[in-house]
Amino acid sequence: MTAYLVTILIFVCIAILLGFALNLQWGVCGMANFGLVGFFTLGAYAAALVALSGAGSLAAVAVAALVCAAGSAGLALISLRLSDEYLAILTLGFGQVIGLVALSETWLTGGSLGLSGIPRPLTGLVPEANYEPVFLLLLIVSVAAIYVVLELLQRSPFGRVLRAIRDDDVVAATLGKNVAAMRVKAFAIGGAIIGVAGAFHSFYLTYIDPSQFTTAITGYTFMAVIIGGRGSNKGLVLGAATIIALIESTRFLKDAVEIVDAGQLAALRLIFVGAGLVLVLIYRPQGIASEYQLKSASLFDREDGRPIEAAPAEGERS
Amino acid sequence: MIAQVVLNGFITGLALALPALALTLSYRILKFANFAVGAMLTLGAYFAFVLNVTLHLPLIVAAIGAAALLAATLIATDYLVFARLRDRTAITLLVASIGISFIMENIARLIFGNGSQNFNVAIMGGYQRWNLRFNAEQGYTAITAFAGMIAVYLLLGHTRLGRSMKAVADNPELAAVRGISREAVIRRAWAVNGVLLGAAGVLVGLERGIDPQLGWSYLVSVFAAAILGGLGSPVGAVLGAMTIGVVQELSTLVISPNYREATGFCIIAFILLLRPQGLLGTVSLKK
Amino acid sequence: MTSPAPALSLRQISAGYQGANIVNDVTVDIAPGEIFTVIGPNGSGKSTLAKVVAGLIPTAAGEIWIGTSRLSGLSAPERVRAGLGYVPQEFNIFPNMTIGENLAVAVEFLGRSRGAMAKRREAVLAMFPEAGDRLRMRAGLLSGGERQLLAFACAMMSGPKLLLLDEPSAGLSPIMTAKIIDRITSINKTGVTIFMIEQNVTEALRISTRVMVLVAGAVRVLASPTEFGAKYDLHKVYLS
Repeated sequence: MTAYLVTILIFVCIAILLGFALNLQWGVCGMANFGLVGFFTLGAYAAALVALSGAGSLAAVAVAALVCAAGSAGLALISLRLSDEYLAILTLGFGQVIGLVALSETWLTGGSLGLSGIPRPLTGLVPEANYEPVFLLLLIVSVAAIYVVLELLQRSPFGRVLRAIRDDDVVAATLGKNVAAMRVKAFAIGGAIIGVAGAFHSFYLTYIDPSQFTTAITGYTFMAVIIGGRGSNKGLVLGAATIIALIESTRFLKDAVEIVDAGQLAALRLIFVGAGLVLVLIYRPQGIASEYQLKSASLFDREDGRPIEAAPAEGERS
Repeated sequence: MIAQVVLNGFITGLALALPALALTLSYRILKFANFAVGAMLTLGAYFAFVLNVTLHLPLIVAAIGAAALLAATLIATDYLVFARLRDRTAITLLVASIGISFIMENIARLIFGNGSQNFNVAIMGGYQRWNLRFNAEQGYTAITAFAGMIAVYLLLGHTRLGRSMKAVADNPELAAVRGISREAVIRRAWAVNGVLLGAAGVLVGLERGIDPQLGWSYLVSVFAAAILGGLGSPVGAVLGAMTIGVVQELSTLVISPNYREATGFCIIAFILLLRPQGLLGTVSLKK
Repeated sequence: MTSPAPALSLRQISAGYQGANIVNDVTVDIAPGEIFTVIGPNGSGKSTLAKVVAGLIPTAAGEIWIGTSRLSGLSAPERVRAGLGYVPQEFNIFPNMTIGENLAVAVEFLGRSRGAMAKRREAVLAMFPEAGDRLRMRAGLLSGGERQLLAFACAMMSGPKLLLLDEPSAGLSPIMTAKIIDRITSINKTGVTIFMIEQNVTEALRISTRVMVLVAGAVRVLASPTEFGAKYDLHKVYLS
């Protein structure tokens, strides 16, 4: 049972990382990344290849983060001053291309057979039996570290400008060039985090193949970000946990009641994601967690007691 | 040989023209990029499949039925979802449309499974002229696509409905004070979308079989066509579609056919770098 | 003998955006055949008032009547059917459509028969001879003054009883302004009541039957031009 819980928590952490990234890209900067799973794939394969070459886990994570950051920056640069739908289709297309490459370039990615035997971090230091909990610990530490970095970023001048841009288009217009550059940077940072998530995915499973990287992942992440309240990382943790819990509970349901087979279950889940996205956008665009988030005090609040993060209601944006 | 490839490309492009037109129309009138256009294509194909294979109707009848069913479905979808998000930001509508695409595609997957199906049609022969092969399916594609394009042209340029669409696309407030109900025009625009996408779904299903992934793999190409033509220009959409079709087919001469879908992405990136407004459009800048 | 119903009746109209009222408690009855002008400093709520009557902005309070029909609660297209014509201050034609299409669109969606629509077309083209031989021209190519005339023509296509004009002479040369004002008086002579927002006080006073001064969303003065000239100093009123 504990082993199962450990596994679940690992998946939750990876989902949280993806959520952090999308929160920064979409929740704060309003940039739709419809190719999120593509970057996740890219990070996973990059990390796997580096790790398999013997360069070590740290190098693997670094390369994954860099590659994804570069790709993200590239796409953001291409669509720099254009309205939202251009980045959306670019990222979506990019995601599809990455999927195609993973499937077709057998010499590099192993094709549909994938890559196996991926070395894990810290294996030398920990006995086999205790590895998973230690891995989880490493993952939690990384998640926490990234959380802190993101919070500091939000409170920095960089973060304040980003939020000002999201909330007021006139400000964006007057700031001009700087805004564009900042959006690219933010998108790239998000990309780097996705790369890190991909690396952890590779390390944990030690075997990756294209079938693990489905569009559903993009959908679930958007759901988690919306549920958590766009822009709020605290809420996101709740959102990610909820999503994983729901996915896992449907797995139990499927085993218990045999109405649907695996393929149909996957389809049902995606219908749920789609419906969930639509419903929350219509009825609670500010998210579900944001209300609690406004009421709770936090280490990071300003001296005058006003909470710093507050995702505005959709209707308030012109 | 090149000429054959180009011919095939034209036909592929023609098939792409209808969904590109639909995307363009909805972009102009509804002011957002409909990412569910692929899923709607899939639904159209499956509607026709049920009518043709399960109910044994001839394909032509099934196609017309699919167009009608899809039109009704899109009007219902607008009523349930898009109408409630009517004046939200474009990005909200983008995400909502992705949500809709998940729902539509997976309802198809749920009911029909992942496998590929085919329409019930007599094996169609081919023709050969000047060393070029041309089969009957390609002929139907060309005819249907041309009919669709002419219909849209006539609609926009010479009918009351077309004028009302242009008015609402241009300035919904002014249209209102001239007596035009925005909601009524939007419903009709979705109906036109449904007809175009229903017909296109049948064409795509004829060419590559019907499976839940059908629309998703077309999505980037449809956007590429519309963006190349200039998002918002119907003539541009058709030109863009033809170009994309030919480029895609030509690309198979140099790169692996697996990457056919990737050409759409590359073309989009290319256009956005060089000339974001495409051939005939005006560029839409970030606010 | 009862007097006929007012062409336009505004009863305690208040309206604004998100809680802050731009127009406050405006009440006035406009008699049929009047040329009624609203003047006032920038930001006084004149345009808002016009949009409220047109149905583009909802009222926070109050009622609007046209003749014996209640306009409040009707959508903008429904108000056109009830006899209201509106010429917005800017973006008042469809630049990407031809002149002929602009005119057609202004009467095609009102549930009229072909015969009735054809009659309206004739009547309007008679009033606006400039349009006659340029029906195929893209409206976006027209000059500012010509656009304004086209906008009037389009509003007249529905055969309104009341014509609502928002700053009809804005941005026009003195010659064009004179032409526009002239056109307004001709339209009025055919029996159409005019409710006009104007910045150009001199012209307004010249042709109007009554003038209303709106300052900070409230009615400050309501008088005939002669009374107005005799009793009020415009500067003082604007700054009050």
